[in-house]
Amino acid sequence: MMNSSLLTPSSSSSSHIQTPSTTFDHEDFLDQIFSSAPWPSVVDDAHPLPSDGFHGHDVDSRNQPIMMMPLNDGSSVHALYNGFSVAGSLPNFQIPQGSGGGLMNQQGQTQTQTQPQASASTATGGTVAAPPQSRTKIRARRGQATDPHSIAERLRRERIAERMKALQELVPNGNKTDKASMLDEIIDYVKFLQLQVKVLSMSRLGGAASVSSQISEAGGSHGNASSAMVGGSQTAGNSNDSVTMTEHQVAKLMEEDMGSAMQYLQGKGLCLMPISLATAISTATCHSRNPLIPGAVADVGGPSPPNLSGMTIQSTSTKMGSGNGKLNGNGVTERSSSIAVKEAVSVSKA
Amino acid sequence: MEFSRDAGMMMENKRNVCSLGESSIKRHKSDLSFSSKERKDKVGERISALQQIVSPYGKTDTASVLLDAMHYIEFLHEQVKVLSAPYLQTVPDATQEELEQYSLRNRGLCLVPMENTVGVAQSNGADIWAPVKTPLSPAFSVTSQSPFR
Repeated sequence: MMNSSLLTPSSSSSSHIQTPSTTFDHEDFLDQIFSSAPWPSVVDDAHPLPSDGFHGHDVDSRNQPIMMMPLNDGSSVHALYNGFSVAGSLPNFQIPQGSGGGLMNQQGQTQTQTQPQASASTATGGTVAAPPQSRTKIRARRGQATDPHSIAERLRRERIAERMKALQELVPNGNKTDKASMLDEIIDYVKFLQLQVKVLSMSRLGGAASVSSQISEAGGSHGNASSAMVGGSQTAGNSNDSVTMTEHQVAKLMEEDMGSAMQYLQGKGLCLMPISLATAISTATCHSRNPLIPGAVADVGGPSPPNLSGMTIQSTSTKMGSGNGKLNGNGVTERSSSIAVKEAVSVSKA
Repeated sequence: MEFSRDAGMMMENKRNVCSLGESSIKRHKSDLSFSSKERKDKVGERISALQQIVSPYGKTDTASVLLDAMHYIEFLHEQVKVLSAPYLQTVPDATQEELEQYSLRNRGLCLVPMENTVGVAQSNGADIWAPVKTPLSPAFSVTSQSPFR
């Protein structure tokens, strides 16, 4: 107990010292440490310290400023900041905004630095005469009782790191170490899953008709039509080997692990959709193309052009294929099939 | 004494500036520490964005947002599993090949590029509960023509 409590402040202090490059002041501080407290394990502790400091810095978040609020003696603290400024400001007692933010980050990372400064300001009345001696004396005094704030901050960072690690397993491309990129992956994956759930739920609840009309409005009619035609041709049976292999892979993954299947689909840029909904979208796209062709509108009573009749036949064949697929489904799927049949009847009438 | 103190502070500042320049050239960690404020702001913005889509009315601290994100992703996985269950419960025929057992089309599913489903994502949630529309010929023609008028 005593040894562990004693070693913790020294390790954090050393971590803070080694993060920037060594200067005369820091060397003097190291000499003070070695002269005052000869610890045999200091050399061993110094080896893993850089990674530990980097890890602590990496887990840092925007909640750091809250930790600075309980501090007292703001003016004296600012004076001390001026003494330990990293940005190299001039001796005037005004801290720029950017360097102030940097100092706050440093304060958040290393807790031992806060204690000597506060105690030094209390003891010496705000002067910056002898910071090394004050640090040594204060740290020796405070070594037996660890500051509860530093313990709470350490626990908070550990909890955040654990949860980030757990999220990495749920998200594709989770091997990134940068926290900002990791959060971007999480946000994109959550949005993808929300889209997938919405697409699957609409088809089951029979909202295909309204959904297809909205898709026609949202996307460009021509672009949407061409892509829908490509999808229709694939559904009709002219699919490529790569598409077939992708579908087999997705079906296999869905039976084993749904999470892996969803990660695979997001990586491919694909979305899982029932054939009934895809058929409805294709039909709505064909219908929306009618007003764009003046000849078709004029010749409502006469025979339709060959291109339009070809599209109708292709849609019909698509529905026949989807009908075969849906024979294996349950009642809800059969109702969708009946809706598709009704749409086919309306297409033939029009 | 005051002059000596000012000289010492100026020398310390000069050394700090030189050391920062050298360390930024040599090490990458110094660059991270130098731009720590920018990285912190970016992370904070992303935490807020994640909180908006995961738990808009929940806690706003980082640990809670990450925990809610874990639970929400697992919930969405279960949701997709439940919505896909009617299609996956199909028992394949014994005559089909083993490769055909993993076919999506036999089960009524297909893969669509995500660009084509943007309209679905943008639609109003109330459409899910709307009654099924009967596609009569005059109503259908009116519906199809109205967006272009």
